[in-house]
Amino acid sequence: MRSFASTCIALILGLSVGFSGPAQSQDVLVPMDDAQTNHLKAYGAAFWVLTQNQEADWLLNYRGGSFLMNASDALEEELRIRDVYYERLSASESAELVNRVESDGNNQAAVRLETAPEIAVYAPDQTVPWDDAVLLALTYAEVPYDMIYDREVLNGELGNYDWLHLHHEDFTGQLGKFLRFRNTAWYMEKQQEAEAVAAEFGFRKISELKLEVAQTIRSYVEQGGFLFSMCLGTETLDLALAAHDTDIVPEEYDGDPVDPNARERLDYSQTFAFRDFQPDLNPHSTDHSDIDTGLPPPSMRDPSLDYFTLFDFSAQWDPVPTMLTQNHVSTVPGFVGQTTAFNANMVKDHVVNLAEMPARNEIKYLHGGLGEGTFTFFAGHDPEDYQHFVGDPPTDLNLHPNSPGYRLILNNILFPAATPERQQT
Amino acid sequence: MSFSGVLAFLRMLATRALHRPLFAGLHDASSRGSGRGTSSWNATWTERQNLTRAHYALEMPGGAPLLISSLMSPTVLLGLFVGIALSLTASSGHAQNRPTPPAPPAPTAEADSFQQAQQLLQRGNHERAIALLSGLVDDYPNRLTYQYELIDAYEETKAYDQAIALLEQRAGDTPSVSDLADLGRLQYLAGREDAARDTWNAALEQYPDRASTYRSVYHTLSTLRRFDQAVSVMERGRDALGDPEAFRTELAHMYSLAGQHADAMREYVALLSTDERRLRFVRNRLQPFIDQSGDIGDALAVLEEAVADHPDNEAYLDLLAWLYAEQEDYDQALSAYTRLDKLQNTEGDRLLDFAEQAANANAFAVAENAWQTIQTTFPETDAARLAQKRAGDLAYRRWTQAPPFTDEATRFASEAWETYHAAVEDTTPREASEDYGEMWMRIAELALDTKQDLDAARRAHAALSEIESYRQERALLSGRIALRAQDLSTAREAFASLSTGEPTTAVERTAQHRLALLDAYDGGMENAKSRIEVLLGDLSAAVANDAIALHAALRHFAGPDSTHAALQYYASGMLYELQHRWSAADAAYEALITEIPRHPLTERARYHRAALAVHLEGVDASAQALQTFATQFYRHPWADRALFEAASLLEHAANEPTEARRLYMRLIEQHPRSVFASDARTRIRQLPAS
Repeated sequence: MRSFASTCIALILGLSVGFSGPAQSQDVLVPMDDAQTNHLKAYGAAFWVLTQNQEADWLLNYRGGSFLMNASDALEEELRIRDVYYERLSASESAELVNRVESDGNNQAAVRLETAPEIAVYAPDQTVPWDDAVLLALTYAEVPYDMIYDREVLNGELGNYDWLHLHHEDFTGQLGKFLRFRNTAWYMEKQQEAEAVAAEFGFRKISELKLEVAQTIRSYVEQGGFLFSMCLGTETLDLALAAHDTDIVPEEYDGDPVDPNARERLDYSQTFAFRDFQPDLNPHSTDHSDIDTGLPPPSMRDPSLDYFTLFDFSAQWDPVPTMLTQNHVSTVPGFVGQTTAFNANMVKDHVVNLAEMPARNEIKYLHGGLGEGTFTFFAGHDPEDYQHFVGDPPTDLNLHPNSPGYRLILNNILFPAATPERQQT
Repeated sequence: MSFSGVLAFLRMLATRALHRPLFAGLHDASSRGSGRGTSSWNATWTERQNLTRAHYALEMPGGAPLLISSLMSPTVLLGLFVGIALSLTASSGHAQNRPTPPAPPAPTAEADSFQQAQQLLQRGNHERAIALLSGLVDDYPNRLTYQYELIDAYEETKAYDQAIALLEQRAGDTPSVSDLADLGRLQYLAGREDAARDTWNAALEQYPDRASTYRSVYHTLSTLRRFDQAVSVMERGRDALGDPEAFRTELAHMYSLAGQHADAMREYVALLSTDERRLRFVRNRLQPFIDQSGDIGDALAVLEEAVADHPDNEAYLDLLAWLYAEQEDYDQALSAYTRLDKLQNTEGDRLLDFAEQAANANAFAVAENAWQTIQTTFPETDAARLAQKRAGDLAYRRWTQAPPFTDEATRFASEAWETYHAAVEDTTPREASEDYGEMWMRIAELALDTKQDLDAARRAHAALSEIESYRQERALLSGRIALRAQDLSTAREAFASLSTGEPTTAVERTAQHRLALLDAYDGGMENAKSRIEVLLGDLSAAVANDAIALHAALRHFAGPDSTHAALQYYASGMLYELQHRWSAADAAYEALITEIPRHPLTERARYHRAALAVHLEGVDASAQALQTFATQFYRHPWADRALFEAASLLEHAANEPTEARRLYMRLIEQHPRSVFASDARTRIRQLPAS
């Protein structure tokens, strides 16, 4: 695993190292603005270049966060197959472009992408009647990844990966608080599998197993791993970590009552992003805590009205948040989930707010560091399905090749490949 | 105890009943009212049984639940029945004469404290509730209710040691089975698993000859999801009771939950041996476990053995056939359903249903075998006729889905043709039905589209006269046959009989299109245009593409003079293609190209010539001609279509995947926004690069 420290060292190195200029006589520019025909597959193409031991430049804030790559027949064929729009540039044109992007005063920067990160998606093998937006995004963008789950995490396999994704996971061990589905095959299987793994690792309860997994993930980040999490995987990760010394799981899920002093015994020092939150101890509610602000107010609960806005960052001085917010739009259609948005009052001070719900004191997308690694949390379930219910059919990304919401997910897969040149002081 | 005292006591019990299910042990964990331990309440219930203190719920005339406790003294019971009698008397009288109900009893300090403690518990104020309950337990040491509530309260605060101490104190030297079961549960929750196991053993040893002993402990263990241990308890109980049928359904379910699927199946087999009507119950019980990963281990082997030992047991065989099918082992399922069909004398009905399931799951060979078996085993039956039709339906469906000009398409067409013919020959006119009509219609389709057999189409047309509901289809077929026989006036007449101002059915729309084409062929361009415009309202209809193509030609390529010569050549070509007169069509398009070379329709005519070359010169020639068209007229709106069709021909009909891939690549390079681009990209990923 490439550590965050080495990334930082690279950050400190001067521009001259990263951008000695394109070596090829001709380059390919993949613009990521409105001219792009398939934004999502463009990320896959950039990733593909890295897997071919080639480098690429990510031109932050230039035409929606464009990619500049050495031209080759194979690359152009890949771009065409993926329906990715590109432009050919001569060597001098691309050199001029990089110089222009790197010049002061235009809030743009060029970041060298060097190595394809090893990606792990934390998800069960079993089929569950909801969909994982990142699995959808990675599969559609044709980005390779490994699926890992509790066994692999506890057996120390996280160290093999640069980037870990979590989605709709309940780290509190309450199986998503889907009590009403307890007699369905998928719930029973999930419960039995979790119990079996818990027993295998010497835990009496699923919540204990999941806490161990959460703490292992925390250690992974501390040691330089990159973590991206969505929907329930954000909220419950912190909830489980905070509850490491108490029991917040109702009897319906683990066979014994919650600790009556659970609320007082939460330890926020262990969490990634949130503080001062309280768990929802009602076993029949699918809410897990007050980190999630829940559905938008009725007047806003409409896909055509519900938007969130991305923050602008200095590309040269805040390259990481800039990378994570690259997009061809500044307002992105909202979407809900079991965790829809984060209560701004419960976000820790050191965490960077990447996107917010306007005038609602709610954060949609955030980023922070822990030890030598970083984490990025994105609230909501599926950027292209406003309200995705259990059992709904999966989103067909062929219908959403320019999805700004999915772009935010895919920004995260390239971020670990980057060696930004400057760092915020 | 006074009458008001009785009512106060009853109210207290009723209040308690509202807070938790009376027979909570029969409910699962989620049905608990306030998240308290089911097992403890179950133990409470069991103990009450042991102490002959069972409660019974009655419904008072006023609707409020009333509990009668045999705990009460005879005086109390007498008072209760007097109360009920009074109430019934009152309810039977006139409303205006109804006596005033007795005033509610004054609350006692004891009842108030208890109610307050319960409210505090509900609000999560455990500390004060425990203090109140402790006081009540001290003041009324014989009131079990207070003790149970306090034990629950301790448990809710995870004060397991206090709960255990109180339970042990209450149970004294002679703990009941439920006390011990509950005690074991609390010890388990406190993390003392060995002590819990010893306690449960003690419970089992107390009354080893009572089934309730094992039930009590088993329920406790199952709520703790200790399924392996629960299984052991029931197995032990069964041995001790000397009753091999004891706990059968519970044990079977527990085995499944513990992943011991073979043992579960043994129980279900035993259950079905005594009552075959429980088959549906068994299926429902097994379904979730099959739906999960589909792996039920050795359960299948157990059932297979049972079937082998008892070949005449219908329930066993039925379950086995169902299991095979659920696990998508269609070959084995076919064998099992074949035997079942014979055993049940259903004359193919069971097999017929199974074959449909197999066909829908794309297990085509199995479905075909099943249909064949039905026909040979039960000839002359409805099932056999239906099997034949469904076999034809499958072949017909596969023909429509197969890429054109492939051996596969030809084979399916022939299969459908032969199967449908055999089926209609086995059907007498008096049996004529919707199925019969549908088969004849498809025979006609095949006769016209693949067999070039007008006589067969005419026979189908004649046969359809038996079925009134096929009147429209028959008229359309009449027109199509006439068209193919080059009898255009008859064709027009037949299509006109279906013509309406606003065609709504597929048949009417097709007839409308054909009439428009005939008009154009005859030079009646305005008539053709007005006819075809009606069809543009519904672009989802099957004939929409043909209608759009004709409309575009009529609208954009009229002229250059009033005879619309180019358009007429073009319409001729289209009509000849519809008639499968490939050479004539080619000649018409060629005439257009040579005689009016500057007309824009010539480019379309060239495309048509390239496409229909597949009929005249073969696949490779057509693919080459289409590529040439795409090269020469790369800006033509049909250039992408030409490339895609050429690539499809090379991929499927000529089996040249590399060349096909090259053409798909060319398509997405030259026409990235084409409607064919997405399909081309999919095909590229499927085909080898070299």
